[in-house]
Amino acid sequence: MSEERDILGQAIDAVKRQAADSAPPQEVVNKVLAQLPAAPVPAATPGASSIVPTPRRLSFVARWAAAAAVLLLAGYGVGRISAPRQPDIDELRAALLPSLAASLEPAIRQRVFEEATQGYQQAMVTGYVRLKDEFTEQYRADMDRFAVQIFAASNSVTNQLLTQLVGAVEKSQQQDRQWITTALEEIEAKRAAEATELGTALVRLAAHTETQFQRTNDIVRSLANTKPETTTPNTPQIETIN
Amino acid sequence: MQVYDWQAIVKDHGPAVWQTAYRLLGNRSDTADCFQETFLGALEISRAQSVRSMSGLLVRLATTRAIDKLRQRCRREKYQGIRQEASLAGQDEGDPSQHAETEELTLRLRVAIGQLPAQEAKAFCLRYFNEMSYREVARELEITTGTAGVLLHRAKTRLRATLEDERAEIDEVSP
Repeated sequence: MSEERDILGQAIDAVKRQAADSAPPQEVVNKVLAQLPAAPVPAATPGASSIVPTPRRLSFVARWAAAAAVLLLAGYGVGRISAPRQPDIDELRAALLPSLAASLEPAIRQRVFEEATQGYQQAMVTGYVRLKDEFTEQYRADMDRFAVQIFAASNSVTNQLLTQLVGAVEKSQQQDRQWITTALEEIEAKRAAEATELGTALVRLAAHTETQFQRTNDIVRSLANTKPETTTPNTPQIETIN
Repeated sequence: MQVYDWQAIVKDHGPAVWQTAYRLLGNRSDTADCFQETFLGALEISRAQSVRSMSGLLVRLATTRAIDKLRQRCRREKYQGIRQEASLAGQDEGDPSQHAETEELTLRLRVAIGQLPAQEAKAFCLRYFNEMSYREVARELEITTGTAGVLLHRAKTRLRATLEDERAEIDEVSP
């Protein structure tokens, strides 16, 4: 039994000796100190239940501070009324100021710090939202302006191109009309020339026909005046027409 | 109104917290984590409720955090992992064989503490490492003095049995 106790006792002593000279490294201490409050922090009241400061807790502290102030003022008033002589205001103030400051200052400082922190956070959030809205509006306005400019520029370019297209179409039509007019004039000239040539040919044909008719007539007349020497019975006798 | 100056608290109680954690963990890395968690835990507790004894609170928190880490390490690394980490400490002692024997003994005790039930381990550490009385152990663990005595008795019995078994195994293996 004593040996067993010795084993456990030896182990405990060895562990104690091993850790006897060890001390926290300064960087570990500094790291811990950086995460702890730098200023002295008032201890929690026994009734406090929340670890994180809340508005309810702050109002609770404020109510206690106000109640303490009211009690002090009431005591001061009662003492002044019941006092046989007028107390020295400066002396009383000097007596009350340290205790009042000691009791109220940490709570007030803590509350002011919390409110300032909350105010800064709200201001940062509000500023961020406002800045985001302003940037969004500015971006939309710029995009609208660019869109209008691009639309106007595209309209002018489109109009110019349409004008050029209309001019080209009109020029092409005018050229086509000129070609058609020229072709019609050529056809008309050719038709007139052919008509003239046809008339001339007809006159020539008429003259030639008359000449031939006259010659035929002369031949018939000469034949009629001519009497054959032997006549055959079956041969009809040609009579002169005249 | 009570005011906590945490800079002074760290300065005054830091060494005790460090030694409390280092006794159980045996390496600086885990002890540093435990040191940091202890003071941050104490800050949260002091904001939520009034603290009767800051030194007692810090020692209790350090013991609890260190035992938790020790149990996690026991589950994760088994015996071999703890041996490798812990053997790096205390190399400047004179006799190498004595040093090795002491290292072995402390490691076996730490492993045995890590295998104890949490409440028994806390009671044992507060009583024998931080040298608290039965009444102080009971007050810190929020139990009765009789319950603290029962926990300490069970813890000592288990630790003795474990150390005795391991010594017997070593004696059987060694010629």
